[in-house]
Amino acid sequence: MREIRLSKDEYSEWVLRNALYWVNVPWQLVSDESSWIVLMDGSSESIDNLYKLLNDYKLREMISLRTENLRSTLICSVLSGLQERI
Amino acid sequence: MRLLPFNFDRLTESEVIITNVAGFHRCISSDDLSTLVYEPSLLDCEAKEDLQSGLFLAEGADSSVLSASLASGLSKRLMAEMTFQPVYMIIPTLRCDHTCSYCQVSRASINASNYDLDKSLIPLIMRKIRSLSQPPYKIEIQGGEPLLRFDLIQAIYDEAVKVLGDSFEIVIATSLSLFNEEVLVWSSDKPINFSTSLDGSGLVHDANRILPGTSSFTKFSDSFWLIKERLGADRVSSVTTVTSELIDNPHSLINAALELGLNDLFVRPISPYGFAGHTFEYSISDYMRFYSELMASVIDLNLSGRRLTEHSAAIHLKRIFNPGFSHYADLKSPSGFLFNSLLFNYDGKVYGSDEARMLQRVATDVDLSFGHVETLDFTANTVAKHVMENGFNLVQPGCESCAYQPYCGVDPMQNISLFGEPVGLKSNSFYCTYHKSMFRYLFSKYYSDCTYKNMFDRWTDE
Repeated sequence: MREIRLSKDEYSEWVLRNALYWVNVPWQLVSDESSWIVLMDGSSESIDNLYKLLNDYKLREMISLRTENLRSTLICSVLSGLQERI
Repeated sequence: MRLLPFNFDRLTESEVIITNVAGFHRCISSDDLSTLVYEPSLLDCEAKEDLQSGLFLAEGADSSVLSASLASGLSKRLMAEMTFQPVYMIIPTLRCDHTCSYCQVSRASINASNYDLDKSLIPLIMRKIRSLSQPPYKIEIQGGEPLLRFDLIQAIYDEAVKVLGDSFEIVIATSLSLFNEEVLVWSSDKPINFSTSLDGSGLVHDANRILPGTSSFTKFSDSFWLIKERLGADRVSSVTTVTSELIDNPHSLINAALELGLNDLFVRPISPYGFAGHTFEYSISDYMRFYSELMASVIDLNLSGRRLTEHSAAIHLKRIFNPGFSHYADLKSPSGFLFNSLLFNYDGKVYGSDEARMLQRVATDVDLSFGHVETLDFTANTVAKHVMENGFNLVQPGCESCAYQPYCGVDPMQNISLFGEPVGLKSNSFYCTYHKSMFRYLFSKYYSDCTYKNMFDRWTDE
């Protein structure tokens, strides 16, 4: 098993767990005070893929943070609209 | 500048597809994606305007209007997806004259007993159909091999005329092995079409579709030509299930299509249900290699003036480009279970989809039906309710952040079959890998090759 240490300041649990969701090799996640520690089977290709996923999920987290209130408003608006129709 | 919610997927190192809940998409550069997320004001004017028109960005006073437009787009999509307009499937018999290697429904032997529909149930089935939805009604007769009970097919048609009037059409899903002059003459002046299977060249077809004592392909081919010549080319269509015999030789399918004078193909990977689940022999990467090669041949043919449409691609493209296209049960969210299909089985049980009755054959410890047609109850089955509640990909792990979510769907029955529950693990899901690969492939081709773009635009308009 390879050990990958990731700073908690840089990667939130949401980013990390979403990235790991798509990893198709066995992995374990532990943590200490400042780091996430991923223990992972697999080739360097799998590890490269994990870093790509981490990068993309950081972007998605940013989109999510910047549109959070709006998404909530959207869903309320959609549900109200549907309720009126039925 | 205000960012509106969207998802993205990288098509290549330099190109990204972005989509939003209203179903709009744009293909932008990786650099523009970063700029859009972190500092949208730095985008050039043209890019800003384009992203605003696609509801990815809002500026100043427009913000509330654009948000409302996004909400409206999502509402319209949801309402279209939740319209109850099912295809009604009727199974006159589960018995079959073939012993196909990938049979999905654990067919019954040709001489088996108790696998045929009780004729006295047909009037009740028709009354249920009439009371459940509005005309025009679409009825699919499946099996088994339905032509083993041609008498029941005739009874279904006669009762449909009596109860539904003239606002229905019937599709008979058949191998054509039992198609004959009697069936041809009877169907000639009726709204009846035939859907059949073409697995590739004669060699491939016969390797998959085993008809004891004779060649399945010869019977299929003779009947196919008979229908085309006597009834018309539009009365018969084919579906191709890709098996390991075909996967390394897409050209054999093209050759077979040309020999049969086909203008349409509908190609799909083998499905992991029932018997088929035990014989899954290739990966989706293998399938997409096959599919890319097949499409290269389709492009060449179209360029040479020979019109050939591949309908799996066309369905995916219509999901992207035609808002409101939501009547293909296998690619929609909420799932097509009950919304788009209702199946009356040979034993009188009623199911929300063909897949549900397939799964029922192997999952005998759980009832997936809505009961018997005589005591039909859509509210009693808690399993079916649970399946429907879990049919929205908008909120499923792995889907909620996927760029293809607005166009994709869910297959709760496949998930139950593979994972034991209706949501499933998308990172290990056949359905997810297949459809994501298809969307990536189609978007990549559409935005990188104008030859493909032109052909895809034509298919979307058909």
